[in-house]
Amino acid sequence: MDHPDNYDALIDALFEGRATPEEAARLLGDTAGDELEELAEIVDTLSRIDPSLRTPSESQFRSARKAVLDRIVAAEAPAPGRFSRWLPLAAALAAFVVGLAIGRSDAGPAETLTLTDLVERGARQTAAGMSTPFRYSNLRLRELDDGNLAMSVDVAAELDLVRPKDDLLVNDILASSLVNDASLGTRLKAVRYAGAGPHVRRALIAAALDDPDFSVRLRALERLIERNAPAAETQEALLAVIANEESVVMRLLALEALDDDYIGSDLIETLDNETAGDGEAAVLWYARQRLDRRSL
Amino acid sequence: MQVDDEELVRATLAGELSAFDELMQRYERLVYSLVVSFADGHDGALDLTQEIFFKAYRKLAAFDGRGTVKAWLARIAIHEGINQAKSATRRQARHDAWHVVRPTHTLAPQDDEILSGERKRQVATALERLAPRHRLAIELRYLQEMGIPEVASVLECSEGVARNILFRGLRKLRRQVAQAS
Repeated sequence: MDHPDNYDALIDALFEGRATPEEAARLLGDTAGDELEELAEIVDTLSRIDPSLRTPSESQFRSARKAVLDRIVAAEAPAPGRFSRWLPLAAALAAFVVGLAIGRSDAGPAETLTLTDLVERGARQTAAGMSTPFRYSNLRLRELDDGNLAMSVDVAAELDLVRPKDDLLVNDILASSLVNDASLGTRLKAVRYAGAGPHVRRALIAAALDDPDFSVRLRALERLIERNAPAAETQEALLAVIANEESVVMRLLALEALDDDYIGSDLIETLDNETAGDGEAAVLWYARQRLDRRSL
Repeated sequence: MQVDDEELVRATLAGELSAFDELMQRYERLVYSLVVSFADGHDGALDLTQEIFFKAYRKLAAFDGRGTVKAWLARIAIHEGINQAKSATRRQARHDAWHVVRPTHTLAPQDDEILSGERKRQVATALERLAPRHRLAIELRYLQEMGIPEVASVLECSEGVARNILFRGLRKLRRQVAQAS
């Protein structure tokens, strides 16, 4: 019974209901005699559970599949530059998006454009022989009594932009890339070029705390510290790094950057309780140093 | 006649997204079932399922055809599920450490809402309480009806070890059910 190879065949027989009482007794060894019966009953019950009953509906899965396919299409869009002749239209769309984002109405002619106008303009260009920057998916349509077609379609577009680093849209895109599973290289670039503002700060905090890649967490933490933002959420993020980050380097960086107000006996006590190895001891030692410096 | 999974993989790699859509349809329930206990509720599991298929698409060219597509997808799902759980644990620990109140973990829809029969509910509930490796082995073998070689492939262990995990998992499940009842 100690080595699985010794009873592989018996277990197969048990699981498939072929085990004789003698084989079952040998398999179960020193267990109570009724264990076989109970195990067989549980296996039988498990076999009667329909796993599909525990899953979402078909329509929910359909939406999920569509989202995956849309994401694949978006990720495989042609490289920037291919649609350079569409720059004016893309710029108009960007202006529209920014207008929506900031809720202003002083954007000149572009602010009168609706998304439908932009897509129609794209269709006219397509009819004139140019490729469209828009992709259509998930079309739903029906014919109306008057002969018109009622349509609903998802539209995705590729934008080629040249903008200042502190541009609102640029930073919105960078912040979104940080928290939405862009590639490692893109995340690192997003950290490097991320501008200011609470939205970006929150994205940097999320990256510093939760990005699966150490280099992104470290760079995001450094960016947060460089900003020297006094926001309470930044200080809480530093505390979280000190408490939970695996990297001693990052914990020490966070300790160094933490405001004096946050260095107190509570922090020392917490670190003391968590001290379990050399790395943690170094953090605790440094925290005490900072507390002493603050006390002077 | 149904196109086999490997053919769908080849068609996807040749650029036919509809083939990947078909693969998702075949295995979305499997992937969801494997990750639901790692995720934060029903919506979290559905999001994670999407994420897993997106990653699977990106890794498709690396599928070497040595195992089944089903087992390959299940392996990705389990790895992603474990990563998700680790991330959630880190977040929870951080909040706990600094005494920040956080909403309690939301469980997937309770089985008693959808399963018929008290016994099934007891067994399904007890299954959720098992350690991940035991739970996954049982889920793959009995609910997803994989053979031992496929279970072993998903759990990345030998068939003997898979049987051992399965057997020990069943015994623990039996004890859990007995305690609950």
